[in-house]
Amino acid sequence: MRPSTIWYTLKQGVKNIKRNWMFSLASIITMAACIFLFGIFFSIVNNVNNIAHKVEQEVPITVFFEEGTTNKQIKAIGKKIKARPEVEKIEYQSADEAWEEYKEQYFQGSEAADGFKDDNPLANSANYRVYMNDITKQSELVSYIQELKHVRKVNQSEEAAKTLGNINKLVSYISIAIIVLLLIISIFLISNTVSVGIAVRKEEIGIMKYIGATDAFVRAPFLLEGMVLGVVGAAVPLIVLYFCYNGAISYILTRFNVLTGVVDFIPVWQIYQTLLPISLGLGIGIGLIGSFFTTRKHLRV
Amino acid sequence: MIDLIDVSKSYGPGLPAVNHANLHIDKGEFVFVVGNSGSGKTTLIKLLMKELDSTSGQIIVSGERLEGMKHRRVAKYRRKLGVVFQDFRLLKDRNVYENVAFAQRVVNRPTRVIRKRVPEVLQEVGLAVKYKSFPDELSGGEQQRVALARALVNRPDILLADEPTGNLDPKTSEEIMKLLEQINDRGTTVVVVTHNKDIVNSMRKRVVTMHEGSIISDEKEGEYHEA
Repeated sequence: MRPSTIWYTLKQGVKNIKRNWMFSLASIITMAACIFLFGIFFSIVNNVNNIAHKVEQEVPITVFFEEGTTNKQIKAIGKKIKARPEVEKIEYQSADEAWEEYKEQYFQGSEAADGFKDDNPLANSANYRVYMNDITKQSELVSYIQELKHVRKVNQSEEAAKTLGNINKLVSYISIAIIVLLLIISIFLISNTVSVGIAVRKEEIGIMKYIGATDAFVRAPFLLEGMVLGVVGAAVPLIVLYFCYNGAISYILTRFNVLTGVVDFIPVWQIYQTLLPISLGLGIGIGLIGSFFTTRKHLRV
Repeated sequence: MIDLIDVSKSYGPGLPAVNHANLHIDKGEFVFVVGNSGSGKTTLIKLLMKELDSTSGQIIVSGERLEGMKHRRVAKYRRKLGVVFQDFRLLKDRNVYENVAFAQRVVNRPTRVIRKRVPEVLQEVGLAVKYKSFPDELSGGEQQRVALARALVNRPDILLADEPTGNLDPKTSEEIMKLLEQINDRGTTVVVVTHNKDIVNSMRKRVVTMHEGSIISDEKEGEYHEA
């Protein structure tokens, strides 16, 4: 493409936006509203997932061994468990450590425990605590571990796993549904704006086609228009959301200070590492797709 | 240059708009296509412009077969044609210079070529002094001259004119036809669709007469016959 053609395309694209400024503004506002909602939802989903993930890591599976299992065999079991993708980390607790923890928890320094000084009542309680990165796979992992040689018993918190898994699933389904809905609405709106632009320039498009303009030449200003609407429609809510996010976190933590230290919110920069490219991509993508399909209908001259 | 071999075009059931038409036009010819409203002459022009596809038959223009031509090839094909319409079809928001330059821009000509070629062609059609005027500031004849300049700026092999004098008074019509004759003298093949009897009869050019979709006569230095 020649520089003069690129310049022409840019000029026409901007001209289209100015000429239909009301529709352009309506598109930008609606797209901005859609991406703003998307951003809010994205932030909520990420924070809920983050909290759920933290809780997941605090609900371990405990693996006990058969009597007489050697250290070497225990290590081999540990290796096998660690190799599973759903396992975040494992911690080994010897029988002595298990007794110490039990004493701490139930005897709280009382002399009653001294009676077991040389005879550890939990002699057979050496165990692995297995922390998962995806609690929905807990029962799968438990079945796998139960099949391993020298494993006597596996303790799990089925209820916690189910509840957390369900929350994760629900949040994911709702987010997908909302995102799809927003996408459809945005594409429809951009398509409408471009349609108006085309209606205004229908005669011009016809003349262009009679003279021998290629589809790409005719289409380029409209694609540019869609892209500009998309970028502006994404940039505005991203800026607003940036300040709203920080404001909302400080409000929640001030208002409900019981949550401080319990709930960890993801910092805004971390959210934006993903949200920024996705939103801009969505804006540009919606703009391009909306314009592309709308112009296609009118190019068969 | 232009060959129509047993070409028909139907829009639906009933009599076809063009019915088994056969026509051969040589390079550099000046041809009138005449006939009453609904005779099929505009459909014929649209077939040549590849705005419509024929239902049957073969159309060959400048060595290119139009039936089955891929959509993306149509733009390149149309660059060989110059087209003029009854309603001028100028861009109202652009001045004379920009309207003509637009045709060059569309086919990706560099700006330095546009700056040289547009004044040349405006000179040819006698509108060099009005290059800054907008279409609404021009008379019908002047607007048709701009349309002609736009059609000629890319030096097409063939000029198709669909009722070019339909909106003009007799004197201006005559001027436009003189201009078309000059263009033809420079080697461009000119096909004019019209129902302007006086003009056809005064110019003594080849006349192809259509009636209800069929070509009913083809005379070398013909006259306008009512069907």
